[in-house]
Amino acid sequence: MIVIAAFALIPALILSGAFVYTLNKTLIEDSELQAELQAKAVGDLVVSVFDRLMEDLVDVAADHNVAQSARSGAFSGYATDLLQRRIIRSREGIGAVIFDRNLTVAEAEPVELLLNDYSIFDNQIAGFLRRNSVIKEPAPIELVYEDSEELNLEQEPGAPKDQLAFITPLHLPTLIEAPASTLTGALLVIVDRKALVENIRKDLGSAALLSIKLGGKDIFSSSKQRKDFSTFTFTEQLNTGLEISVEVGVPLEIVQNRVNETIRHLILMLCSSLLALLFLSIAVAKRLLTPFRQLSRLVARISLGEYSQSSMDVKFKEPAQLLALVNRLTSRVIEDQAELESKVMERTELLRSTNDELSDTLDQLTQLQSHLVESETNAQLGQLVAGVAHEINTPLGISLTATTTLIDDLKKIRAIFDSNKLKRSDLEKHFALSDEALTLLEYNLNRGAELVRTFKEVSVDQSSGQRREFLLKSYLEEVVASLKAETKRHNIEFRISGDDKLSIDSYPGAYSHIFSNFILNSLKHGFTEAARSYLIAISFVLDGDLLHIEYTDNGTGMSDDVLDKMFKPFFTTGRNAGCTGLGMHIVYNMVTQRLGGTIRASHNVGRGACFHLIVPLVAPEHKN
Amino acid sequence: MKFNQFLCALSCLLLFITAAKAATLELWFEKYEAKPVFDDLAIKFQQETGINLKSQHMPTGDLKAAIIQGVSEDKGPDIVFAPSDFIGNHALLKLSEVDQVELTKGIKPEAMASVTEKGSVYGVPLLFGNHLLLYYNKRFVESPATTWQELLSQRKDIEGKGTNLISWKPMEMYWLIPFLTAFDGRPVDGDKVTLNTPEFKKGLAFYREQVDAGLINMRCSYECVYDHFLQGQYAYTINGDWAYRAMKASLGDDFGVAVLPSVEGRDMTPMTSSIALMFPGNSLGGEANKQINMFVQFMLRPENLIHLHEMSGMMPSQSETYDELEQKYSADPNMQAFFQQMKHTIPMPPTPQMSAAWIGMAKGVSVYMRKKASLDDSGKLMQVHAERELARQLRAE
Repeated sequence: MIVIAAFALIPALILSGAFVYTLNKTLIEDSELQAELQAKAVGDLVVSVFDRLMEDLVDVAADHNVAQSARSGAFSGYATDLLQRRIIRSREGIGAVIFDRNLTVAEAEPVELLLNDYSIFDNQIAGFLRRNSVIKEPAPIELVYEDSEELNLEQEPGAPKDQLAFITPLHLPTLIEAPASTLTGALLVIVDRKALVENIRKDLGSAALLSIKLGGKDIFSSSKQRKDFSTFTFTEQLNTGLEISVEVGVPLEIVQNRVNETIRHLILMLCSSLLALLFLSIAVAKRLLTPFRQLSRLVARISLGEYSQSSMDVKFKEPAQLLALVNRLTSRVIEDQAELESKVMERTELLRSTNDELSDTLDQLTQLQSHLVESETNAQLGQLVAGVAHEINTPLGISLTATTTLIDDLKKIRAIFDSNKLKRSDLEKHFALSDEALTLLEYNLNRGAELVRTFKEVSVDQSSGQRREFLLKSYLEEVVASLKAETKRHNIEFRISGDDKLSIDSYPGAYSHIFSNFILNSLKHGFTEAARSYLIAISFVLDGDLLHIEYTDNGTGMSDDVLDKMFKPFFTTGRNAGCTGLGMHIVYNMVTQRLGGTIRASHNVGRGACFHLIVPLVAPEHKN
Repeated sequence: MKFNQFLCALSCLLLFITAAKAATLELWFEKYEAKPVFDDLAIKFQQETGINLKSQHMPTGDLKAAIIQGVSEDKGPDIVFAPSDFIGNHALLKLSEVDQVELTKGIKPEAMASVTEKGSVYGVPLLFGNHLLLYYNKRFVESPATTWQELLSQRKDIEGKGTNLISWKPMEMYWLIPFLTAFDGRPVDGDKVTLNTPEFKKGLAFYREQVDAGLINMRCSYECVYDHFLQGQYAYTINGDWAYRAMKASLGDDFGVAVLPSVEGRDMTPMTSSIALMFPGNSLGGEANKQINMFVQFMLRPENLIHLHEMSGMMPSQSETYDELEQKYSADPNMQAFFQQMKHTIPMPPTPQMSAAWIGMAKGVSVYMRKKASLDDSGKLMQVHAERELARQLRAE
């Protein structure tokens, strides 16, 4: 049940894994994007802080009353009020000082800045005023340092290099009495870098301000390790022309944590859900399986042959339906069983009677078979006899005709002789006829004798000789040598290959007859060109208890039709050449009966003849 | 022939423009109390002379800067009615010298002194005094304090009545002067600025002690010394003579005036000056000379000076009218205190030094009162910046 529930959860687990993976990927991308956006927001914040400061600085400097305040204290209230409203208020750590053209401080806001010594700026302010003696658009703003030393905002507050200052000229463009000399002084805004950065940091959130470059100068550089952050650098041009470069870092751990936390929550949630689902599945499975267990027990009982109806209370519709079906099935089984028993009895009775009939039929068939075998034997014998009769009939007929002719001629010559009218020419005719008739007799009687001998050989038992153990290869070589008288008329090469020491327990006479027949057939039917060199190859190999023997020649070979009919009795292509058509039939009988093997004829690779014999190493025993 | 005709037409046009311009005089003034007077007198002046008087009030702190700016852009007024210490900036203001004797005839010598710098007269005083007085509300004060110690001793009693002891404008330098003079401090001495003197610093230290003692709210503005006093939020206030009439009218029988109390046996001596007609942008030497002369003479008429006096409370600068009014108020204890205080004032010199001193003082007092600098540093600071301002003024000349 737990396994089922667990298996049921596999798709959910796979889906959850895929979901977590995809979400993780998306969250990382999203987190990196968020980090960039966060950094961009910080960059924009810093830029806007400086932009607003620069803009306010320019606006204040453009105010005529501020410009006048560098010339007359009558404008002090105006100027300081404007400085307070536009620059000082809402900004921490910032002050503004108005210098007159003689580089003396005229006004300051907050007023305590008047207590400071600004002589350190003298050279820079003097140079700045020289460069900006005439009004320019946009109003120039320069960053001035207390000296040329590198700034470091990370040092303790209040340190001497803890301030930076921006300067812009003060002009009175509409003065009618001195249009060529409108410069009244300069406005210096002093920014406490620590306060400025701290003020910016309030709005940074988790991001870190790493460095600020203004006008190509480092005005802030954090000592924080860059490797701990995803860093982003934003470079923009302030509205007043100064270029600002802000390096912002978003802690890597925050980028990762943001993802990890979400994934952790998600995994926790998924695990909780899956666990709950698992328990729920187990509970549901348990509840669902209860009726099936009941059904299982019921089916087990049924399988043991207890077909009694179940009246158990099963929950759920489907199992109840199943139970009803099982009950119906058991009812049906009981009915069917009864019906089956009845049918079995009927069928048994029927089978018994059928069996009796079959036994009778079998007996009849056996008798019929014997009859048929006998008929077939007789038919074969008849056929054989017809063949033998046919074959022998011709020489006998010719012999009889020759004898009759000779007898008639003899009677005729005797009559002439008796009448003493015998002439030399009559005698010579008689001699000629007698000579011819006797020649015919001799030939046809020899032919008949040959046929008879052959018929005798068809009976294998009579022609295969005794059984003994012999070396196959040596024996085959002897067979080939014994045919030397027939083979010497052809240019033939014999190749006999096989294990020299292979000894077989068989009938050497059968082997001699088979291979002599093959060789003589090759000479008679295959080797038709006298001038050509021929090859006869015999090879054998042992495969377990079976001997594979192959006979091939490179003669003219045989047609497919010949191959099909080759082993049938009296089939010959050389009837006119005195062939009986029994040679290969005898071979077939010897291989299959005497040697207990098989023979197959085929085309050789070079379209010669090929015979493949498979015979047992030990020939079967035969009754004499 | 055609060129002559063109010149003729151009001359006519210029004459017309000049006439049109001359037919209107623009007057900027600082004393808000004078507004209804100028509104009334403008009608009267127009009826008599056909000259329109366009008057514009400006707050004290803005007026001088506005005039300098206006003059620099040729948009300044023809006439300014302002404290005579403006003359200290006569170079920037381009004030016309008043060399017509008939315009200053009969004016009190002290008033004339307030508009004379290095022998040159730069204005026509209409009102004289402009000094600080100790006003009190009789509802809270039965007998005004004559010494600062006495004043402080009344604090508990007065605060027990649900009000505060005293108000003044702590960051206004004009109000600081009596505290300085009580210790013999003087902002200027001839052509020298004398802010970083022991006397001056002593007075300044005393001044801050009062603030530290919680006697005065540092954020007090003119509302404290006028509106809040009239509302009964303060038993005493130190304010100028220009508020006399309005406060008297508001408080009625509760209105009381006293001489500023002495400090450690020394008088608190306020400054005195005049409120004068001045002519920025050298307007008196310009095309409106005649109209300006007519207006000055119109304003110097006794009835018009009395009108100004009645509206503000400040005394006219003309000797004859002044004497008549002094006689008239001989039975008025408040006005007696008024005149008594007048006798215990120091004239405010209309010099660049004084103007520069005001600038330096404002800076030094600010840092000192806000405890951003020590007394010595504050003294140095105000001296340095006053001298720098003076140098700028002198360069402007």
